[in-house]
Amino acid sequence: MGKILCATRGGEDSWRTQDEAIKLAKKRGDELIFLYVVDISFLDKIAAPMVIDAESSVEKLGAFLLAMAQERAREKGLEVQVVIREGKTREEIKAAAKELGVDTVVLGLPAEGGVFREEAIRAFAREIEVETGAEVVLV
Amino acid sequence: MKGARFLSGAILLGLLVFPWASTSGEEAATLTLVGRVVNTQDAAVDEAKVRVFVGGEETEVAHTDADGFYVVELTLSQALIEAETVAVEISKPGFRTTRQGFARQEFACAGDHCHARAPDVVLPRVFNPAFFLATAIFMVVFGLISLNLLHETIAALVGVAAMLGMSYFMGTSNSDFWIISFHRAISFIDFDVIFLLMTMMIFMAVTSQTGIFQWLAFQTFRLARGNAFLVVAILISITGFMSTVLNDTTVMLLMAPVSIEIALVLNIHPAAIVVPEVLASNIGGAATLIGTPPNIIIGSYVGLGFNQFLVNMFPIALMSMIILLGMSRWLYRTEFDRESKPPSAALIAKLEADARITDPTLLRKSLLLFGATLVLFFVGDLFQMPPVVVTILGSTALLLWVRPDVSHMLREVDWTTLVFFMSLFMMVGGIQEVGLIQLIAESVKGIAGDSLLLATLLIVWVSAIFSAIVANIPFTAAIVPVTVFLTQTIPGAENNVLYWALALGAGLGGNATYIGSAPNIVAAGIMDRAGFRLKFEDFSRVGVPVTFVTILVPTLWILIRYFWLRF
Repeated sequence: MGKILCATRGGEDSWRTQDEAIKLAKKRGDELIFLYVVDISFLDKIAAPMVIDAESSVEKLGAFLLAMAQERAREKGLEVQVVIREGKTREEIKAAAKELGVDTVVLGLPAEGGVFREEAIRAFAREIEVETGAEVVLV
Repeated sequence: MKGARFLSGAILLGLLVFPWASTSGEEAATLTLVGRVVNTQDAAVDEAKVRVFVGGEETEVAHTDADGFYVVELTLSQALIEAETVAVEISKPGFRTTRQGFARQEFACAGDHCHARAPDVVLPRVFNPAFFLATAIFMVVFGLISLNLLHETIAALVGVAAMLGMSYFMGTSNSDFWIISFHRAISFIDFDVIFLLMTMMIFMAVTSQTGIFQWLAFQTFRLARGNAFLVVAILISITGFMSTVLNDTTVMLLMAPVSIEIALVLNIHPAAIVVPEVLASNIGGAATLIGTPPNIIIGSYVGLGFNQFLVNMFPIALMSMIILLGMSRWLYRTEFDRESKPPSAALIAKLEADARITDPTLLRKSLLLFGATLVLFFVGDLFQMPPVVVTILGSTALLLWVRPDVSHMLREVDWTTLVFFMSLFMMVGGIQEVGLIQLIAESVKGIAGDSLLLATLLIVWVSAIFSAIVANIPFTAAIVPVTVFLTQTIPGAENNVLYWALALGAGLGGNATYIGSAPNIVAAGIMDRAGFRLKFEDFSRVGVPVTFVTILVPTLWILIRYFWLRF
């Protein structure tokens, strides 16, 4: 049984990707793992008082979103594993793929088009394939 | 008899008319020259160089003090004084060098001491390379911060480094490139603001560890029993209230994640909660002296107290909150009116688990001390206690009671923010030195003339527009001196209406776009981390109309209160 890793943020932008990952896992009979990366780099450019544990707040949100993803998968007849990591999104996806020994990584293409975003995701997909040896499926 | 009387009279007359006639022209006399140097706004010019020339030769150099005065003492022969050969040349980088001579009748002499009080010298500005370079540096930093291209602190430090580097590398050999000295730059740092921010950070850091924000949000969800708009209304109110006394950006960092979870459980789009919440955080923050950095900057620079802010800004914030509630109901009506499926018990359990009070003892202590600090804000005026002293007392008491470890205390303070503010003040000092602030002030005065009404409207709406598109903290820091000048020169402005106008425009203007203020950027970032990308136009679709109405109505209130009913 192979392993499929699907990085997700849980929201509406990710639902289509989650659904495709679930379909793929069911079709292949593979184990599906949803990954959420706690990436707070968006706060890097703000000089507002960061006196709270921002990672912890976003991590709780991530855990909640993964719980929602698990429920959606359960409704479609699949039990999935969830993993939370902290760091830069791209690096953590690659690191998780290596550490978990996944065979396939599912990435979502931007729903609303955008040539540059799509090209960036395709380039990232090639990076994953080269560095981890895993197959990347773009949905 | 007649002859004796005539001789006495002649001697007396001689002593009166020619008081120095009894001494010979070669005898030395002490001459004291006193003068004052001002700019074209009649404000004192300090640290201007005063060179004294006697007979065309430089004999003495002095500098003007903080009030623009100079005093020079010379020892000269009477002949030189009588020959009208004394002159002063006044210069300062950024100003046109001016020469002033002294006529004999300007000297008042008694014995061997003469004194002259020169008429005030007005130094006009010159637009030298330093002016354009300092302005360009400030605009570049403004752009870097507003477009989020560089961390705010690094951007501000770059600006300071550029201004100081320019001054010392080029300005020491050519004064046309002199912007500001280091010691002069640090004199512009407002340590009231720095300490206020630092001590409020300590309160925020301690309070946030208790889980109170998340707990309040969950209790809201429970009480609303599935009524989405009721949840939003209560969350908006909580966020707005919290932002009056705690940093609005941190409030959003704490409220946004749990609000998104609540939205998902209610099956409504998270933007329907998070966007009104962030608008509420900006509105609530505008209500008090300590609610937002622009208010802290205004209050500290001008010397406005906590109670003054409350009396003048709280009504404005309250009416804006009511407007926000109504407009949110309308703008997100499709979300609130949608039929929703029953929420999952597992998700509700997860939500509750995320929203527990994590440290009841800490919560009790921090609430008690915070309450005491708020009371001290109200009564501090009785002791002539500046707001910053109140927060120092409160935060120190909190640390002593809650956390005596100094290394922990240091970790609670976000030094990058404090360095940002210090650098920002130094940069504003630079543009003040080269005359940009003066130019802006005179331009605004030129438009408004003596009309307080026009000046008020200009400040509200220009501040609002700028705050919508550029970072409102550096904008406020640059505009406060302009507002002070207008308050001093426009008749009737003693009621401080122009400061309230600035607080309104700079505070609420940031609601229009998600680059308008830091809480907006934080909210958009957290929404994105949750997979709900908040596009610029999505935020502006709500932000622009809400901003317009929440500024328009308070503008009418200001006109009624300060111009018609005058209370």
